[in-house]
Amino acid sequence: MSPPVFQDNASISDEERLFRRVHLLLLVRDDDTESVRVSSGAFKDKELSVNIESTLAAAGGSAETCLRNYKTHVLISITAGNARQLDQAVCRDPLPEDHSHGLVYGSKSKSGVSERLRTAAAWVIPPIAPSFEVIDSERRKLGIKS
Amino acid sequence: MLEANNATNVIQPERVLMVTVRPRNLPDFTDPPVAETVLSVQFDRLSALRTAHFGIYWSEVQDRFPTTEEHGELPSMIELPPDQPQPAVGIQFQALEAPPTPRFWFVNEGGTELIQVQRDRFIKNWRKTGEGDQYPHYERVREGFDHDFSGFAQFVTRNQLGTIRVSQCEVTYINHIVAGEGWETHADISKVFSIWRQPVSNYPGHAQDLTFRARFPIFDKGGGFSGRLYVTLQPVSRLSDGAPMFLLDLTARGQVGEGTDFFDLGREWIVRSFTALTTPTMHKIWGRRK
Amino acid sequence: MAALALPLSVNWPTKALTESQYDTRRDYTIATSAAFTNRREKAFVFPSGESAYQFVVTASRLPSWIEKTISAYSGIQNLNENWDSYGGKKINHDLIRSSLSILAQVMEDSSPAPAVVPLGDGGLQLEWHRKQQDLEVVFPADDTPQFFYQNRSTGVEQEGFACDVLNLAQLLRKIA
Repeated sequence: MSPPVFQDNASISDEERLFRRVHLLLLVRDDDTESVRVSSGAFKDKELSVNIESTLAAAGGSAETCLRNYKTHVLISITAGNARQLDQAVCRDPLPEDHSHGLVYGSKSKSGVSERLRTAAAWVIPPIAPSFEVIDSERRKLGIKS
Repeated sequence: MLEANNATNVIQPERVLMVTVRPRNLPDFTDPPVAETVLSVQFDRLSALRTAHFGIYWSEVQDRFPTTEEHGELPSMIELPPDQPQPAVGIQFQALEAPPTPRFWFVNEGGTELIQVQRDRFIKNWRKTGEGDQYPHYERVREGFDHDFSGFAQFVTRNQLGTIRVSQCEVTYINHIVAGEGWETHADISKVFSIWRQPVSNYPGHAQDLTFRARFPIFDKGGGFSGRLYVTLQPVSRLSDGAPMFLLDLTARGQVGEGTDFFDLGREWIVRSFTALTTPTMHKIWGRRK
Repeated sequence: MAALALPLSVNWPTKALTESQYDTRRDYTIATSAAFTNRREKAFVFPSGESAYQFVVTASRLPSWIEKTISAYSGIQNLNENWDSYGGKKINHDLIRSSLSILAQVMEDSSPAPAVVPLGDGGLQLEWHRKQQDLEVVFPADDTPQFFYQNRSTGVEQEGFACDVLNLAQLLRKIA
């Protein structure tokens, strides 16, 4: 059985925010700013799972909903337009347990696609990039080595 | 020669092309002291290749290589240019309790040919069958290697075990230079090797034997660094009759272009270096034609 | 104390079929009283938490980047399935080994330790972000390891295969 191919869904506007959880292990230190940056590794999946904000909101959810029960993660967002500019398809992929689930679909292994998605990403929870000491402390509390 | 994909040294197993052509002015000997030759290819580790798969591979070559043995894995080796600092550390990630990943030997009935395989290496060894036998020249040795490596690559593809991406090639010539023709004792170093001249003064006097190890960078036709030639010389005794013997190993390791192109360059370096390191007197004994 | 020269790392090849034909034993004893100039290599063992694995580092002395790097690897080598909440796979141990092999070839004593980041496909990534430069070496589960370099102030970008250790070492020197 051949792998699925997902088509871009034009009903998702370019301005639509797409939330993505990022594990603490995918946060790395920028030695120049001494703060944290998200690794491009968070954006490498061909079928990159996201939550579509408007769909989430329509069901009474919010950004906080994405992180419920995920103490080891932060939340970032990109826009559908960011993804499409990098030849990615943005589509809905509702799951039984997650109706706002969507995908940013396409190869991300060439020409710095994952790096460009990383650069375009914005912090949601927390709202600004924390210091590395804070992340390091969170990791230690959760028993995650850094 | 096995053809490789342009971009990533990926071997296309079904495309075995023409046999290599000998360079026109390469020194040639009718009876060189070569006792064993080895051609070896290192490639990106095939993680999916398990011990059981080696058994399946053996079943495909068992008619020609009926005997098998297990040995420890050889470490991966990449030649770095002379200006590249040598690694100061080695780091291993080891299982506390896990069987080691073996290197498998598949030996032919006469014990004259050997295939060695591990998850990131394919090696073929040949040796002379007897004193009166002709040395199997490189072209024939290479043809045999290409045939068997192609078979292994097809096995990997058929069983979906990954893609062979060659990272390093190695050519080895092992020479047994036995006393009796041109020299008599290990002190006769300068009769055999052009690189040594016995001291003329009483101190330290004449060496009774010599052990020598050297490395030489190998450069391709464009002058770019391609690998390294290792030369070792050891005085030994032949077990069959105790005759003094010089063991001269020449190994060329490196990579040029794609796939197994380095084999030809390495062989050329070995033959020219062997000729330069040994004396004209011995060349005559070995039947130098060119 | 003056630094001692490191002996050359030499990868002497092995042979198989003709070793049994000769005897290398000679009455050839080498006597030396050298004590201060012999490199003594030690094996430093780093257990990896409660996992069944350990890291063994062989060196005359540990470079400054080792402990932090080993700690980072320890943090990812035992991740469970779905560690990233998106079905992320356990990290492939062969990729841990091959990335360590590349690191040993490109790192110098003074090199900064990399961040070691797990990937959802079971691969991993080594990263450095300093001096307005970014260097990432990616070891994906199903593709050839590659590197990506960017100089944020000049805009220069470079990418290639991780097996190009010479190039990688030069880029790392720029970042160090």
